[in-house]
Amino acid sequence: MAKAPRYEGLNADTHVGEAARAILRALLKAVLAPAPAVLRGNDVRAVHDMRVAIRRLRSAMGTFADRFPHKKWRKLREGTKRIGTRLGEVRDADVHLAALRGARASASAAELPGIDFAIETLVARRRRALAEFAVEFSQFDRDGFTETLADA
Amino acid sequence: MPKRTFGPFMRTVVFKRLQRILDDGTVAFAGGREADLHALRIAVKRLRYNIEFASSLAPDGAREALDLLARLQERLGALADFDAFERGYAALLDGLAPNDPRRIGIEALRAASQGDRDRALADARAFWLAEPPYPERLAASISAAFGSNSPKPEP
Repeated sequence: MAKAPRYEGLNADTHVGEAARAILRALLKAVLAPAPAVLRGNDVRAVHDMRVAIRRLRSAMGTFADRFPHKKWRKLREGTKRIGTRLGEVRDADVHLAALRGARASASAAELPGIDFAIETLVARRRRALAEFAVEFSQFDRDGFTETLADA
Repeated sequence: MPKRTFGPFMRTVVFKRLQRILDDGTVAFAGGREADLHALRIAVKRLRYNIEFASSLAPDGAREALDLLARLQERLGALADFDAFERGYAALLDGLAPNDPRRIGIEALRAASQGDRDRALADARAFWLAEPPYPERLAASISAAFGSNSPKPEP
């Protein structure tokens, strides 16, 4: 699994709001870092890292929801969920393709047409899912996110 | 109003999320149903990430708790993959005629995946129930990292 970011300078007496901002900033950075590699197309590791980073960010957004203006926060959470869902479809295809390619190596001649059909179908599905993710990600409000963290 | 600090706040969050796993795990491993296992996997991830956020508060970074959660998450992740594969094979087969030769390969994949899922579920159940049981080990590791959740007596 992708390594968790370091959340520097937090201790038991840190104000919750301050801790929330530090954690969320680190997690947003971790979400955005692999994005260029993901959008280039075939970087399975980058897709995985970004997917996990989005999961962490969503979890922190839930934990610290009370620290931020409700309406703005709900919109940001919905946007984060949408990019997570889209990228999850890409990741699911990657995992299944790896399993299928492994199975193909030991398949009988009679099984190959079906396995190849499954692989072709998944490759096409992954391509579509990545295109849909790219559209969703272009609408992800990273500036709104940063501003909300600064305002809170 | 007293200042709300990170330590007590995260301790409350962590113990609340731990309770969710203890409740969901019993149900999920009793039935082995996809929806219950999915709910448990999400609960495990939430607790794991929240412990990561709070790891600077624990003497050893809550390493044992994080390791236990990672090991359960890995097993539940494998089960979720097999459930996703099953849905994929079912959809592919739905689109093929009964005599289509491509069915042979997909049906073979499906049968192998179902067998793998059964083994993965048995492995995850054994991990949950092994002595001492997983819920006890997890709760103890979290108490060791963050202290007991019972309220401190008034002086």
